[in-house]
Amino acid sequence: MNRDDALRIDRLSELYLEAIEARNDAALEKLWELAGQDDALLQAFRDLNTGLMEEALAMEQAQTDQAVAQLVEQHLPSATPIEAPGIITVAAVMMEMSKQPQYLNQPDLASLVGKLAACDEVLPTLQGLTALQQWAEARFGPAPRNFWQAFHHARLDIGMRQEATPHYALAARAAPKDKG
Amino acid sequence: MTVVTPQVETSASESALRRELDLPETTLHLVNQIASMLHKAGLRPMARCQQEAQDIAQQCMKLAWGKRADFQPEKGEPGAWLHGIAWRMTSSHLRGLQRWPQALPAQDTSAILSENLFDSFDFDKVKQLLPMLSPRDQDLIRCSYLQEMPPDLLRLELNLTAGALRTGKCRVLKKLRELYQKIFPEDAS
Repeated sequence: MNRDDALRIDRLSELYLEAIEARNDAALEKLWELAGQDDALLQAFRDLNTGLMEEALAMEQAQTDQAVAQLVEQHLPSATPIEAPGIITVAAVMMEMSKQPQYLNQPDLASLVGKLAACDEVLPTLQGLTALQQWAEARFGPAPRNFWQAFHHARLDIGMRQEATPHYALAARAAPKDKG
Repeated sequence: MTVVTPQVETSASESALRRELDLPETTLHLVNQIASMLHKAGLRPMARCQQEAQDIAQQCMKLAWGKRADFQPEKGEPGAWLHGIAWRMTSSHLRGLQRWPQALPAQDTSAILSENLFDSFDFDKVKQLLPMLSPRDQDLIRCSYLQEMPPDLLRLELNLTAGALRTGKCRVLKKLRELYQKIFPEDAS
């Protein structure tokens, strides 16, 4: 797909979203007719529908979380909601990466892997792979792109697990103090 | 004695439609389309939209099979034909709930795409507008249009699903277009 095709699909997707929001039958008729002739456009509309669903579900989940948190604070004052740590160290990411040893057993990366595994430094909040790679290479030295991709994925996996923690920990009560 | 089983002949278009209906993702695509339309029309909560979407999607697939003789492959893919039936059924369902405007007879569709909609932005001017967007929107515009990153790499770079990338692009393009027309009105005229 060339640049003009990609721009055209982006523009038609924008029109599709506008048509749903404006409840414009005529535009929807025309746009689905066009999608019938163009697989990439059909896929773009399908992705857009999926994205809208994800957006709506995430919004409702956030509202529910907020309501539950308020109820817990109001009715269970002795409860101690545990906050998700939100802190990921370089060493923790390397521990996660050890599930994929093909990235760790490369002889030319042994020194870098050793440095990373011993580093307790907290990863800064960086958007995306490129920013992460730039930060890490400036700090620890260069490595192939696929190594940093695996590192990035491991970081995301840990982050996702941490995000799930508050749902389970929200109503956890503080542990009773030792009497002895 | 030989028993001859009558062969039921199926046309190529009917087979193509049958294949599409048999795909497990077809139902999912239809449910996503219908549920997002219901939600955009103000139906809440999402669980209700999804439930109603499943019912409408099933009716849509049943209706499509019943009307299979009307399917013309030369006019488009069976998937798009099903989506066309789905939005008509959904808008009709929403009309019943008084959440969708009454259909106007013989609407003129020629004007919808006839404007000069596909003129590209002047990307030098877009660069000047970037600081007015949020950091996330800036990343999206920079990676998508200025660096022309392939979609798969872009999703990895920005930690987005395919759906979130598509909706994000639509929203940021809309914002950018409004800004562009405000700051460079001479280009918009």
